[in-house]
Amino acid sequence: MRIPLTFVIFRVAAVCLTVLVLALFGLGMASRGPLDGLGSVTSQAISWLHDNTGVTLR
Amino acid sequence: MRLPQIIARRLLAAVLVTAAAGLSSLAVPPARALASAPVPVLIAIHAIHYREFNRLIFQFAGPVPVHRSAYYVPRLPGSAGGSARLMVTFSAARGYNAHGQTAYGPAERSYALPGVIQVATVQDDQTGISFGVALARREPLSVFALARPSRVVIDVRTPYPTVLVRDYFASSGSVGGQSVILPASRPVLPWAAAPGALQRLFAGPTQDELARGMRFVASGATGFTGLTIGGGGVARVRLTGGCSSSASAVTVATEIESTLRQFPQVRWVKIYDAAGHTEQPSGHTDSIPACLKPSTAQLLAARFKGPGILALLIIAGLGILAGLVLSVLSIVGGLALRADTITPSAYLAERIKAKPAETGQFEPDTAWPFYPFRQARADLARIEAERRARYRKMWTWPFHPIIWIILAPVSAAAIICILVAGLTTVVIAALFALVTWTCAAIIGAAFVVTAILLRGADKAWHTGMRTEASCPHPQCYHVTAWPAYKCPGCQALHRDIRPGRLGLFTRRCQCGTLLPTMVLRAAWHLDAVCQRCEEPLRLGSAALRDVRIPIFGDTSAGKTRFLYAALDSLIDTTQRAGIAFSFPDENSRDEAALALDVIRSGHDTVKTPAALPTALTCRVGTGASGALVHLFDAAGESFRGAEMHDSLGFLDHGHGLVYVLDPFSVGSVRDRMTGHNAVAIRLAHAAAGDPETAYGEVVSRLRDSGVEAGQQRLAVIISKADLLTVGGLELPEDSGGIADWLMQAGVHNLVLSARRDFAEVRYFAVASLVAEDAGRSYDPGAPVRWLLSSRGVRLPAADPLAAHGMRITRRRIRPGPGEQAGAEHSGTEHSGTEQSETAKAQP
Repeated sequence: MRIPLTFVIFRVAAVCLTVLVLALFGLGMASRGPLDGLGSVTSQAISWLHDNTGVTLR
Repeated sequence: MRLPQIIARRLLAAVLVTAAAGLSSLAVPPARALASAPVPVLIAIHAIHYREFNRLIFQFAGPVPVHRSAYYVPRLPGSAGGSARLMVTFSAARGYNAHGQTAYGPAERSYALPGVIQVATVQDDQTGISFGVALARREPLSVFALARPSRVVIDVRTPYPTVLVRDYFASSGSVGGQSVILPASRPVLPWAAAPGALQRLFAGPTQDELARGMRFVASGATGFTGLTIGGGGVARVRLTGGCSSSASAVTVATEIESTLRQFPQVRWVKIYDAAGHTEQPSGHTDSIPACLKPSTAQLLAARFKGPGILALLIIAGLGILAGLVLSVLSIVGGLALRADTITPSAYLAERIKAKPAETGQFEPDTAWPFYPFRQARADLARIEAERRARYRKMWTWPFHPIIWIILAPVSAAAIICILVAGLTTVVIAALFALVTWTCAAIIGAAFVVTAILLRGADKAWHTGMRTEASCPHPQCYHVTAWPAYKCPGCQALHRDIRPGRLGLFTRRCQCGTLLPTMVLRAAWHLDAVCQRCEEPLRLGSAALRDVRIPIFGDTSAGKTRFLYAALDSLIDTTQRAGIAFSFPDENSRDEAALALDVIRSGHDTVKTPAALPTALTCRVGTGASGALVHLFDAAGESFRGAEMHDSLGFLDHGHGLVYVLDPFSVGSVRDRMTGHNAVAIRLAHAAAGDPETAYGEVVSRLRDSGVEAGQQRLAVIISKADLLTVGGLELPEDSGGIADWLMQAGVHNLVLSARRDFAEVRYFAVASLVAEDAGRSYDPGAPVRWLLSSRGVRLPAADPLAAHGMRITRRRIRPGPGEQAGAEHSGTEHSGTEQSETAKAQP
């Protein structure tokens, strides 16, 4: 039974949007893209790790 | 005067003028001179200890600042502590280079000297530079300048002994727990060693110590106050400023405790916040304020060593990678490979289970549901099931628990990796669900709004244009707002084609055929069938204005003849007005052809079969503004028997009724014509029954069925008007006159009842044929046009003669023996028997 084309469109769109959100989030953590404000969170995490364990990630 | 003297004087004057000009050129304005003078730029600060004094050196590029001062102040802005505070100011000097960068190094610097503790920048702008200098003790000082290089030197005497103590600073190069703080030596006054140590601690590491990775963690505190060391070995100190652990395992409390605990008389340290709170203010134990307490994560992190953390990070990274792969596999499996597709039949079963169809309701249609309304949920559930199944497999691999025990260290790492992978899959699944639900919510909301608008458009069209789906078939005659439609692919019925959860503009049948959703579109693309009997409806049903006109009356009253003649009149009227007229179905077309043949050829009408009638439907007008006119004609016998009466459903849904009254069935009329024109009476073949009986039966049925006859129009047709004319009886032309004529003829009960039962009653004298010498037209189309106008279908009036009568074949009626000559007739409604009688009367 052939499924309607709208099902395929919705599924592909949902996957693409999820990947896009993940990519934007990842780029933001690296201080790039529209969510670059998340870079400060990364910095804080790295600093926290550095302060508490001495491990340097940069 | 002699020439040499004159020359000498002129030379002297020239020299004087030249000298004056030269002097004037050398006379520069004071402001311009200041602007061009070089501004001293501070490029370095040094502090050196000598035997009896500490020397503080400020080195400049350019000249030495002319205005310089150094004086003691009670307090200083910033963090400069110490027991004495010195303010050093250089006017008309600056501390930054042409690029705006500080030229003399850090703004704060600490020194491990007996006198100078810290130098901190207080001001650095165009007006000058100021520094605050924290000193161990207020002592005399001297300020002087040195050249080459330009320096300002401040010597502060240190005529007191010192002892070395240790300040403990955090080390950015060390790892975890107590080992993250390192000691640094400081000379302090022997009689104030503990306060001095804390002063030096808050001043921070020296430049060399900073270079070695040491730093002071202030935790928001700006200083301390009230340091006391009690007899029980309990040191108490209160922080000033803020207080926060700042997500760090090492806080200012760690540094203070280590620093104070070097003194033999200190065994426990109780640190208070600025508000005077600490966790355990009494007892022999260390205590810190709650704001400095490290979190569990901080404590755990502090217990791990660097390589361990790195290993954990690598394992976590592998876990995230595994989680990503697992998520991708789950999504691909859930959406494509093993998708849980909600088929139309499954969706139908779900809906029936959720809301069973009640009596009189149909089951929902079988079509693919709109994705966000059902399939989205199924997809998410399937992905979650896939994710759980795959994740469960990760825990069961490598199959036997004993292997996990044997490979304990690896197993621990694997467990961490799997846990992180699981967390990653949960996060990604949640994100996918969030995206899906967000899209579904947005699109679903837009869908619902659009569906409401489209349904509203359908409803508005239905109400405004008075469209309905009328079943023309016997035993049904059901009327609904919209019909059912047959799928062209699988012939499955779609009973509610309106925009809804099965589709907005189109819906996909279970066979895959795409169907339009709105009734306005489906009416022209799909085969409409009756919701009840599932017989085919007329093309355009429920999209066109719908008018139903039942015709009733006694046997031989002339109903069928009237129907045919009215149809002929309508065709003629619409043709002359340029209005399209057609028949939407084959049966109506055939019956109309027969009717027109009968009427135009002057043949007699065949007796109407006793079976229930199928509507003769014609379409008036083109496009969406057209109208479907259904004409129902049942045999007169149908209105008598109670059994047949129950099946005359078309009467219940009529928009206006036509009652055909045969004037020759009225006794007084017959009496008046007896002896004068027997031929006319014989040709009329009067209806045998009482005219009021058939009327009463129908009205009674309408009342029993709950039909509000008071909202309808009734057209009372006095048929065979031509024969009355032949017989010498001329009917009045206006409706009121005809009603009065009927009253006088003894049919007053019918007239009075009709006036009471219906909203509007109009009387028409109608002849299916016209006598040659008739001076007036008995247009049979007039009653139909009047009824159609009540439903918004307005047609022009017929031409009195050309419209109908002139087309009819005329036949002369010769009187028989004893009958009055000159009577002419061109035909009446007759049964088969009647036809033979008519034929006998013809020449």
